[in-house]
Amino acid sequence: MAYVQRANESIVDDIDATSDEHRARRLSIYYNAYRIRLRGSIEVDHPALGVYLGDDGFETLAAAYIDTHPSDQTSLRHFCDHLPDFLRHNKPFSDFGVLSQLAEFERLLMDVFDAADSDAQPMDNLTSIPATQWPSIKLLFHPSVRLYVSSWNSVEIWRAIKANQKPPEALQSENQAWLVWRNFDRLTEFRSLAADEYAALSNALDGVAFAGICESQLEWSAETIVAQNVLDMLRMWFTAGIVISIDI
Amino acid sequence: MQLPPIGFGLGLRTDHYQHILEHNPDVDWFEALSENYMVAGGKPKYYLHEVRKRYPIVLHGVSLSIGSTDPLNLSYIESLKALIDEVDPNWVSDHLCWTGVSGTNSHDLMPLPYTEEAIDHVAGRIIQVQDILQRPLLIENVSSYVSFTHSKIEEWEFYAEVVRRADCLMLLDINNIYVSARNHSFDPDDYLKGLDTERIQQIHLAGHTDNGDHVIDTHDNDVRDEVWRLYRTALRRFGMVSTMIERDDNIPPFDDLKAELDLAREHAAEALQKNLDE
Ligand SMILES: [Fe+2]
Repeated sequence: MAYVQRANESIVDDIDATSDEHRARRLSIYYNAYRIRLRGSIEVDHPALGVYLGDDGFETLAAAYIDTHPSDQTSLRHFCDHLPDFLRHNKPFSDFGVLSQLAEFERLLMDVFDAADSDAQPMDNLTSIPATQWPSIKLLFHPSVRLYVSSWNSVEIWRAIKANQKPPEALQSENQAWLVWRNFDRLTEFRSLAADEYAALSNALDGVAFAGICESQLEWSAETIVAQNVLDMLRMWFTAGIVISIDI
Repeated sequence: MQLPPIGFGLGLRTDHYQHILEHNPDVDWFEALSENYMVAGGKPKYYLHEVRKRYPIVLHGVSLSIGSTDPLNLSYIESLKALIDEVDPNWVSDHLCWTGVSGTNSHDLMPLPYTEEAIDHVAGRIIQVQDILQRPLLIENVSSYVSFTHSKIEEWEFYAEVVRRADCLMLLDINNIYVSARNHSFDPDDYLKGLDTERIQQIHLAGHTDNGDHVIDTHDNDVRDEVWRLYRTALRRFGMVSTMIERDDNIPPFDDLKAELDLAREHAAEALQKNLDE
């Protein structure tokens, strides 16, 4: 492996060749192929990050990341798993907090893309359950459902790049939560979540029952309307097709 | 031992999913890259299953690393087995190479030293994998740019003996033979003569890049005349073998690849006709 990573060393003496120069040239084919393959994997998995960094920035990142993280996975699908962390902790990238969050968002989109399949439940299956049992109802969600929290306008930047538009200036902000999921047509969708819905959905994903969700919603809703508000949220989740099972 | 031939196929590529489902093109089968479908769900699997409803599929992997000195990657083999159960492919193939060692992966198909010791090692591992998968494996020759001073025998002798000892089948890549013959100055006809006809289950054709003093296996353009010529020689020697064209980069519209596959049919017909005439 040393010879693909550094194009030199131990194995070189065992290579059959007519001259040192010939040997080096042949080994460089493997060395170059290794780097081109890994660079391609970053580019394919992180297209928006690539555009945002620009050509020079992207090449600098690719070279630095490949040097720091030799591939340790069978599949290239996971080669960039360390990329958000790498961007967060290494200069000059760490000076731009949005980069790590943009990379994180793109990795999350990959997870949503090939998460397991499952059939959604219609809302009727909920409303047919007697009201007396509602407090103990728990929902199970589609395997593609992800929550993403940004403290930069990373999603807005991603969206602009995706639409071939000039991305907005990077801005740090209050934490903003997003729900990301794969819809009936296997297309990825996302929408922003207000603080109350983010809390409710986090609870529901953690397996908290309807009564527990209502209780934690008292931070945002008066007791008289809290059940109705939570029910409205549930309706949106069913409509989006992200609920796959109702446990009582 | 040998499985029935299934004609002329193409690689299943993301860019062509929609076209295939809409037009049901006249292609006999598709070769799917196993690793692309070792995911839980979503679009890749959806399309794979839709194509499978209409066509035979063979699975082609790049990650078995059958020549490595690392232990066999059992979790990879289990995922492959799960995919096999799902897809019911006509057969399953991987390469005569190593892709990584000590947990690091080159994602490349690195050649082996051609020694008696390596034959034992690789054949033993193929037998283990076949035991787990409960089916024969097809093992493909790779192209190479270096060879090792340890090598005591020719590549084709090594390949033929590994396959005999493991009692497996061959996926013969004609382009890889051509590329390696140029890079290591051997006669590709000697290569073909050294193989056992009854082990050859599938053929790969692909394009390469000729850099004069060496040739690189790029899979990014049309099959070259030199490779068509070697393909005809191979078929005259081995009879009809299921054939597919590999295109992994610079992927053209589906119909262009289909036209190239029709050209393969013509070359095959011509070669096999000559056989009859003789
Ligand atoms: Fe091949």
